[in-house]
Amino acid sequence: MAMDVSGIRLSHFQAMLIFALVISVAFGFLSRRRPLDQVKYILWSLFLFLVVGIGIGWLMYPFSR
Amino acid sequence: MNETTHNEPGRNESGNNESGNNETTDNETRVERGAEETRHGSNRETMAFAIAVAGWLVPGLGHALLRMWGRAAACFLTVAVLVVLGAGMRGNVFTSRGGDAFDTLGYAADLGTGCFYFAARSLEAGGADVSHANGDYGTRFLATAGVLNLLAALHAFEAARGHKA
Repeated sequence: MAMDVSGIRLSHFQAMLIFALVISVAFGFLSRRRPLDQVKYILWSLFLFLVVGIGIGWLMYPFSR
Repeated sequence: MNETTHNEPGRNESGNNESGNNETTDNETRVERGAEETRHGSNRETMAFAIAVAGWLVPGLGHALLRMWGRAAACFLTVAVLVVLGAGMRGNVFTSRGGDAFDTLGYAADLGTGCFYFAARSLEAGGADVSHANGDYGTRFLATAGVLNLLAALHAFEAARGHKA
């Protein structure tokens, strides 16, 4: 039975945020053993994803028009 | 360990030189032990390979078989979220009938999600729409889910082999 979930609309920032969160969680669980280390890694990775993503966005801004 | 190896080196009870026999026995023991280790290692490799394949087919199953419950749940949920969002955003689910190398590469990445590949195709009843940014992001989400699952399967493989993971 086919179920249609089409129609999810995300802004650029929402897409980036969800992507960064999901990848950070996966990397955190795969690369660290202790729960505290995992949480630290997830937060740090998420922070870097967002900072680098927004930074690259700003760098690209002058060339967007 | 053979009893003769506990005697005084080179002599048995009657005082005869047995160094040749002892060496032969030691060598045989070593060879047997080596063969056993090879057999054991081979079984382990086979089991690790089976776990990796299971992890690829069903995200998180490889880690679940190794009783790494947290990692299993994380793998399953992250891949599931990316696939549902990717299909929901009408990303491109590549098929084997792609015309160029990028299609083939996308197909390989999408296949990495294992059983979720078919879930993505059935979820996306309306077909892909990459004319908007959402569809393009959806394509990336689906490909990332596949590559992430392959990474998780590789991680389970290494853990099953006994390597630090």
